[in-house]
Amino acid sequence: MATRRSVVASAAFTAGHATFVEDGTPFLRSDEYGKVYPDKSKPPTVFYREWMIWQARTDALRKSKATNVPSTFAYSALSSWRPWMKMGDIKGHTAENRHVAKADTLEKIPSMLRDLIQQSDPDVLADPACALGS
Amino acid sequence: MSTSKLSTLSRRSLIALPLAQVSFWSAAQALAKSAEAGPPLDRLETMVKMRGSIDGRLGFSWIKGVRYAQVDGRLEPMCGLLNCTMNRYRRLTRDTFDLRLYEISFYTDLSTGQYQSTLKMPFTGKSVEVPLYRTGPGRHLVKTANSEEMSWSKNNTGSEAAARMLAPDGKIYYNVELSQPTIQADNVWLTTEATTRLEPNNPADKPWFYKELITNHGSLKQLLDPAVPYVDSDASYTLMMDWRPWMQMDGIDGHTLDHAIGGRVWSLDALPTGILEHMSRHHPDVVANPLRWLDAEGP
Repeated sequence: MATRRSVVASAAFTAGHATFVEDGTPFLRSDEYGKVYPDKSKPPTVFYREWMIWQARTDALRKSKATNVPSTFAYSALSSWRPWMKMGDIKGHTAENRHVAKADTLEKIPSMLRDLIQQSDPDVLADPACALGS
Repeated sequence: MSTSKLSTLSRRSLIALPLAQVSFWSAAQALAKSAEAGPPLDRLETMVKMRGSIDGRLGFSWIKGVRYAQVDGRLEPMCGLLNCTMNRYRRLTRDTFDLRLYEISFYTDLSTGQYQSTLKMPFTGKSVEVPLYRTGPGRHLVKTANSEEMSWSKNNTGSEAAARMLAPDGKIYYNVELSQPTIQADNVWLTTEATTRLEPNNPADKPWFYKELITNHGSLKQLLDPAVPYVDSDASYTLMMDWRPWMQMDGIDGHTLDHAIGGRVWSLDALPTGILEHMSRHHPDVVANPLRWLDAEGP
C-alpha cells in the first residue's frame, strides 16, 4: 500500500451531474469516481465509484427564498478493498445500496447513529462546523 | 472524525462512514424497538405494501437508471435501463405471499434514451446485438427470507432466441431476504436482497449470477394504517450481474452494475417517461392486455 503522502498526491477525482424530471418531480443524478495511483504506470490500487440520484419537491425548490430543501437520494457504490479489510490478493470489491435522507440538524439523524459518532468522534458532534474546516 | 484526519480520500469517507454504519445500525434499531421506531412493523407486509399491494391488485413496478461495466476497478457507462415488472401479490398465509410477475426491460442508448438493436460494449469495443428482454410469468413465494429453485431453458420461455442470449440453460438457485426496517420520523426504509445463481446444464458453460439490492422508502404513518393495502413508495436500486451471453465479454473478469430509481404505479399510463413508449413499440400485445400475459400458464 502506498504511503499516505503518495495516496493523497496521486488521487484522481471526477464527478458528473445530470438532471431529469419525472411526473413533476425533479431528479439530479450525481456520479463520483475516485482513484488512487501510487504508480501511474499501473492500475489504481484504490478506487471508489458512487452514484446518487437526488430528488426533492418542486414546490420547495420554487420557493424563492429557500436556501435548502428536504431531499432524499438513491445510492449505489463500489469500492476496492480497504487496507483494514486485509483481503490481500483476493479479487473483488465491496458494494453498497442505500436510500439516503438529509437532516438539517444533528438531532434529526437517527439516535443510534448519533450514539456511534459520539463514541468514535465526539469532536464532530461537539462542533460539526470545525470538522468541515470552517 | 477530527479535522486532523481529513485527507483527499477521507473526504469521501466522511460521506461513506454513516452509510456503512446504517446496516448494522438498522438491524439493532429494530430489535431495540426504540421510541424512535414507534410501533413494530410487519416486515413482510411493509415490503408488499411498498412494492405492490396486499389486496391482490395488479401493479406495475418500474426502474429507470444506467448500467455500467466494471473491469479491474474501472467503470464505464454501458447503456440506459428501463424496466416494467407487472406484479400481483396474493396472501397465502400470515407469513407468505404468492407473487406472480412478468418483466420487460429495455437497454437504451445513453445519448438518445432509445432502444437500439446494437450496442458498442465498453472495454472490448465490440458491436453486439441487444435483446429485447421479456420474461414471465414467474412465480415466487415471498417471505421475510426464502430460497427457491427454478429452471431456465430456452425451450420454455417466450423467445428461444432471446433466452439463449440471456443465460445458458440451467438450474437457478434464488435466495431472498428482507432487512429489518430503518425508521426515522415518518420515514421507513426496507432493503430486499436477492441473490440468483445459475448452474448450467452443460458443464462447459460458465455459472452465472446476479445480486440485486432494492431499498424501498415509504411513510410510517401510511404503513401503520391497517385499512391501507399499499403505500406511496420509491426505491433505490443496485444490481451486480455477470456478463450476459449477448454482451460477448467471455474471458474478461468483470461484471455489470445497475444504479437506478424505482417505484410502483397502478396503470401503464402512469409509468415514467419512455417506458410505456418502448413497450407500445416493441411489445404492443402486452400493453393491450397485461393480464393475459401475467395470468398465462408459466414455464
